[in-house]
Amino acid sequence: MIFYIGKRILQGTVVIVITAFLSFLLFNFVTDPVANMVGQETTAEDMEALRERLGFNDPVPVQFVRFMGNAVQGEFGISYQMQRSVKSLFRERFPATFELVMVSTLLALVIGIPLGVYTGLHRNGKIANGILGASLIGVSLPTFIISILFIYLFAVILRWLPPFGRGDTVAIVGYWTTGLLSISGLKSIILPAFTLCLYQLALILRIVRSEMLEALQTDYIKFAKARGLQNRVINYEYAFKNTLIPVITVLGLQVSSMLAFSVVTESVFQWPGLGMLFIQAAQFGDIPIITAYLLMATVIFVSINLLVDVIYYLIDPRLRVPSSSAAG
Amino acid sequence: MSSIQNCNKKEILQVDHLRIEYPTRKGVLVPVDDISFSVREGEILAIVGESGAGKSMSGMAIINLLEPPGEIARGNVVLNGRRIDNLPAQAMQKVRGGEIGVIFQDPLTSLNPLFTIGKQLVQTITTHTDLSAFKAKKRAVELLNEVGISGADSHFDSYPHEFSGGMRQRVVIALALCAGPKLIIADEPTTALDVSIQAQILSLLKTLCREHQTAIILITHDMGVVRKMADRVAVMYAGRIVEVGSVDAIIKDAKHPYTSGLMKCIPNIGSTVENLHHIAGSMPRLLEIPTGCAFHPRCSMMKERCRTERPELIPLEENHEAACLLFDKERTDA
Amino acid sequence: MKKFLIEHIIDTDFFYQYRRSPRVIVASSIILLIIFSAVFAPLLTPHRPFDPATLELMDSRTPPFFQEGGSTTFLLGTDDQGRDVLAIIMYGSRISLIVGFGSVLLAMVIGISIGLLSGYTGGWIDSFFMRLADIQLTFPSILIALLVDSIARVLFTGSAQDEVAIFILILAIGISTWPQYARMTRSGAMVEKGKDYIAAARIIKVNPRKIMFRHILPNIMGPNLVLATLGLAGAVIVEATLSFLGIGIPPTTPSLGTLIRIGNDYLFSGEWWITIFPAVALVILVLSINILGDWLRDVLNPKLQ
Repeated sequence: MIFYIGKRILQGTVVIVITAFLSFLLFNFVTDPVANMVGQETTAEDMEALRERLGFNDPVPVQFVRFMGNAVQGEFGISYQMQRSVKSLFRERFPATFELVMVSTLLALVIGIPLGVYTGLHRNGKIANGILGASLIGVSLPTFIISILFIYLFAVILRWLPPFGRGDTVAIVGYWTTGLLSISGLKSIILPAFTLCLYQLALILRIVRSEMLEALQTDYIKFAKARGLQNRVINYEYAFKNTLIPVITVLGLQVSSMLAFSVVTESVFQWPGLGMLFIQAAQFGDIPIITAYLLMATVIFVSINLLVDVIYYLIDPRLRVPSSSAAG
Repeated sequence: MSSIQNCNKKEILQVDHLRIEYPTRKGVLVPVDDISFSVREGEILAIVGESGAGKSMSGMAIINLLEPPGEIARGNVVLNGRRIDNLPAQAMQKVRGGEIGVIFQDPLTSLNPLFTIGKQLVQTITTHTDLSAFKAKKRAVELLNEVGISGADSHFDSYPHEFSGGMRQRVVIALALCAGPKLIIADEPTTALDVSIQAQILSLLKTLCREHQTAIILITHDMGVVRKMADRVAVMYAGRIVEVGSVDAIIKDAKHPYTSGLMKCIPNIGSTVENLHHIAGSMPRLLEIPTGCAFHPRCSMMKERCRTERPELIPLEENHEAACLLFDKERTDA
Repeated sequence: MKKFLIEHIIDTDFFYQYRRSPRVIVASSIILLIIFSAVFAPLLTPHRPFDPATLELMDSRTPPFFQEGGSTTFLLGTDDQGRDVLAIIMYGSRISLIVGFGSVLLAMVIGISIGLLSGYTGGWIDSFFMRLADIQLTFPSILIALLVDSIARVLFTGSAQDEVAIFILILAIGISTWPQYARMTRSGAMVEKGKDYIAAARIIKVNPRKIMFRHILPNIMGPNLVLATLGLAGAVIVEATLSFLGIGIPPTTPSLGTLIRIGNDYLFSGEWWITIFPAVALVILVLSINILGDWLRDVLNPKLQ
């Protein structure tokens, strides 16, 4: 077990280091960081002096190490656009994104998995096919279009829910602010969370369904039927349990995907999270934020993948034994 | 009706004029066309034939596990005097695994990889009997011992992938015997195993069945297996039974041209032959089954009648029937 | 001879399944219609929407013909500059489809080549590329597209950005999706590699490149086609998303996503048609492609027969 996990951690670290190096190149060499920091009137000599002082003329490996050292502490300099430290910006925005993604994931799982099982078991039923059709539409609708439609319907026409923002937030534990403890906060999170979860919900539904269908075709299901096991046992214990493994793989991808799509959702709903920050940075060419986001995203994704591998390991007994132990 | 009375044993399974149809876009396929046979208590009946002759389908039809859209179109299946081909789903579930046990070809894919074999055994036992969980576990361990898995206690909590192929098939046999069935349908039980293991599994199967007086329908294409195991043999060709009789009669004194051709194809170890015998042509595809006798295009003794008349199983001697117009003495041919 | 060929195609299993599936016929017809109107847009539209000389500011903000104030000259209404919405949808679909097809093509070329090389050659080449693919697959592809796009935009500033935008997007989306084709092709190649006809080709010393591309490739195109179809839908969505966020195709030659973005500002002031119609067009396009792709997957999957 240790060996298995250790190997994964090593792979993950490699990925992080590579991405870090790319970020570093981005940060230091794509545009001139010094030029971006100073005003228009600065003379060339002053810029050169600044460059020397900040260490931009040092050999590349040294700069890289310095970069990594800073990165680990969350130091990415000052945002060009906002003129504030990247670190403080991230701190401010992170809770918003985190809450959004968590609520969405929960919704997608809680609704998607049962529906997937249902449509898998009732392959030719009318309701099942209706749900399947709806899921197809769900996969075809881009997030931003759903966002616009939702806002138009619920905020402009019906006026039930607020179209923008996060509502009232409450600060808990240090810098963390949560919107979940206020009514307006809860109201505000509904639309963005639903929008974000729809695509993933449809995806989960379709995957669970397809895995169920495939499981029901296997030999061991056939043998279970031949042994006269009850339908309930066959469907839920045999078929469903075997679909969990692919679903868990997808789950990791889901959270990663949601993080990516939160960029879109946050922009449309003006949700003050990291996603919106990133888009503004991308529009403006704000390298420090782009770099920091890239590195943060990498660490998150690698960690999620690692977690998924661990869970995989705990569920599938085949992975535990390195080789067959019994004799003829 | 083809049943032949033998002295003392009673029949536990009768298949009468069974016909399986399989609708496809190109037409209705008939993989099994009007077969009838019976199995006596404790007897081992081998159903042999080439791939695609309809043997497995017949087996699956008996327990009503045909893949849709396949279905039983005509005929019936009677188990211990009770018709089982038209039972409602719930009742059929009790028969499967309870009165009829099944063994499939590939033990690796037959067992659920995520459950221990102990759990799979207990599940089956509690489904068919009233034993408590504790007693079911005891019975499971007993079964494992019976099939020769030593140290059964420690293996109870093992997963299927931790076993070798032979041991897995033993587990499958144990699962089939869980509820003490009167009949076991074994579909190519040793084809997926190493040759060295095959003999072990076969003799285990035979011993257990003799002990418990369980009948076996052994579906196979391997005549060596037949010789070792069977009491009686039914030969299938293109979905029909062409000959049925005791194992000695079939192997040494085959009467149907197909069967005798089949027996000639098997070389004997120790003898030298110039050329290996073969029957010209190949078994017809399901959409192209000839009229009359299905074998007539390849038969060296074909007569005109064979093109149009489909032969019934004709009794030749005690415990030996063949479906060939050669033996139809009532109407001598021109 | 020609008649025989057509009869032969009609007789295939594939066509049979096609005929039997009404929604697939509808979907593929819609796609063909959209492609047709995109290709022939200049011939079909009453005026050139991006040529300022043909526009009348007086026409601007006309509602669609079925609403009060609308006219049949502009079936779906006009936008703030007097451009016919139907026309700009056609032109917009052009861009969306160009980026979509272009990126899928790019991803396939990269992915299939790498997959073939990896699967056939094996060894450290295989390990290297698969490791690369794995690393990229840790990230959701839209994020990769986002990153490549933003970085490229930083490199091209100003008006150069606008001109190159299409290529940047094709590059970004293409790069973000190659691993799936590589993986699929690689496993297919590894399976084919073990087959006898490949062994025969090697024995007579056929050039390895020829083996890969002329022998193995045709046999593994099936699943790749399914991926490509679904990939096209994905690419169109990603492009639309990026354009909507303002970092995709610029308004000078807008794609459907850009149009939606522009129209969004007018949604709340009542001129809903400027954003809704392009949105509907986009959804119909993607939906049709997905239906086709789903059906292709079921038809080409031997297991589900």
